Order: sequence, then C-alpha cells, then structure tokens
Amino acid sequence: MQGLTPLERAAFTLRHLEQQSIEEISSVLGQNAEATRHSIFRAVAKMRRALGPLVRTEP
Amino acid sequence: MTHLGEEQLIAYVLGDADERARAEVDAHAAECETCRGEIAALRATLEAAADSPVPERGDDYDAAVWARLEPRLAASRAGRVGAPVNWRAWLAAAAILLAVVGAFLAGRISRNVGEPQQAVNTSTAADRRAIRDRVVLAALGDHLDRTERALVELVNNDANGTVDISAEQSWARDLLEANRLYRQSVRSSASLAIASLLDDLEPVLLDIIHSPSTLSADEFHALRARIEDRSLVFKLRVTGADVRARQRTLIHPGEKTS
Repeated sequence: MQGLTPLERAAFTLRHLEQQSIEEISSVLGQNAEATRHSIFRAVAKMRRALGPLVRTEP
Repeated sequence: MTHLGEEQLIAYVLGDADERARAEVDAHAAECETCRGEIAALRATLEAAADSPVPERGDDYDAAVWARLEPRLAASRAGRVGAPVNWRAWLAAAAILLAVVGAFLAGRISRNVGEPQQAVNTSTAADRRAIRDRVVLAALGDHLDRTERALVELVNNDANGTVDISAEQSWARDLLEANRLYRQSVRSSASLAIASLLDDLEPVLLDIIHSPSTLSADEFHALRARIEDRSLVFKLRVTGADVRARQRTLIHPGEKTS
C-alpha cells in the first residue's frame, strides 16, 4: 500500500475496504468516474505486481 | 488463446464489471487456466491488502524524526542549502486523506456494491469502522506532525543577521490551507481539543505568511516569541502523542491510552 499514490490509496481503500460505489468515491475525491476507475485499476495492478512472488498464479 | 486484459480482470474481481463483462470473464475463465490463475492471484492480492495492518510507529519514532530533521536544520543555518521540502505534494496527500476523513466524519455508511460480498457480519463491520478510525487518526496525526516539524524548523533559524523566511512562508501557506480543511471537518466531530489546537494554529500561520520575507534579527526574534508564547510546539507534540496513542488503542484494543 505504501507504493501507491495518495489518490490511488484513497480510491482503493474506499472501493475495496469501504465498499463505496464508484460514484460515491468520485464525489469524495472530486474527479469523474473514469478517473476513479483508473486510480483503482492502477492501485490493484501495482499491488499485484508488488505481491507477484507471494501470491499463487498457478491455475 | 487470447487472454483477458488486466483491467477487465481487476474490474471483475472488484465487482465493478457489468453483467455482460462478467459473463465474458466467466466463459473465458471456464476454459482458460491461465486467466483462472490470474483471477485467483488478484483475489489473493485483494485479501492481502485487506489484511494489511496499519503500521504502528515504533518507540524510536521521535529519534528518527529528529535524525532526519537535524541535518536540514544544520544546512539551513549554514546558508539554507538543504533540499527543498515538497510541501505541495504533502498538501496534495493531506487533501486526499481529508477526503477520506470527510467521508468518515459525514457518517457515511458502508454499502455493499457488486457481487463478491453479499453480506457483512457484525465483526467485519466493526473491523471496517476500526479501519476508518485509524485513517482519520493517521490523517490528523500526520498534519500535526508536519506542522510541528515546520514550526521547529522555523524557530531554530539562526538569527544573527537577516533571516530569509520565504521558504517557511511557502510551507505556511500550504499548511494553512490544509489546516482550514481539517478544522472544518474536525469541528463537526467530537474532537474539540484538536479543533481548538487547529484554531490556535491559524493566526500563527497567517503571521508567518504576512511577515516580510526577509526579517531583521529583531523582527525574527519577535516572530519567534509570538510562536513560542502560544506554546504551540508543545501542544502539537502532546496532541500528536494523544492521536498516536488512540491509533495504538485501535490497533491493540487492550492497550490503554495515557
């Protein structure tokens, strides 16, 4: 989580931990829904890469 | 076989994919072991993130802060050649955290969205409330810490000749904006002590901002006296310690605050 920007961390936290809707998060962060989706995507993608060796990817 | 895109898979595991997109992922994953593995890995990533504890400050936190601050003070005294602090970035981070704080203080109620989680039991709701509280305290604690460090840096200027405080005025402007936002949010909550401290900070920050950028030694001593008269550094330290203690209590519920 420390590797995320404040915006990515806030968007991801609100979506995944707080389970706020994209619209609610967009309103809180003052950006449009597409930008919010992209922030969340970047956050998950960064964490996925950071945790790559630690999470099982075998089918 | 063409595999599904990462963005599509992330939307799927977060429950943000629409019905058609979900059906597409389900159909593809049923026949593609690679994408099934990637979905499992993404879910494991999300679970790991949810379980990630908020790091607690160690006992040597004060010493570590001082170790970082002292060389900057020395550089400042020697001719202000230290690396500039990125106050704009700090303010941006504070603004984002404030957004989270605002959501908390407004009493937003978590809602289930999407399909992965259909029910929230009492324990999970309590966990989320604890996470929210920790975010609030972390945001306020960071603001208090930054303000304390900034004031310490200012009052430790060497005032043998004229003192250029243009850099301090720049951070004071940033801190003032953040301070007003925090004060507005905190005032609506029960944190009256913190609101009172933020009230006390504003005139001092305004004093710094509206002072001449180059002060004579006498002018600087007068400014420093106005800051020290309010005991703000002490109050910031005490309130910051209280906020950190409350954070620790949330992380370790059995621990009592002093």
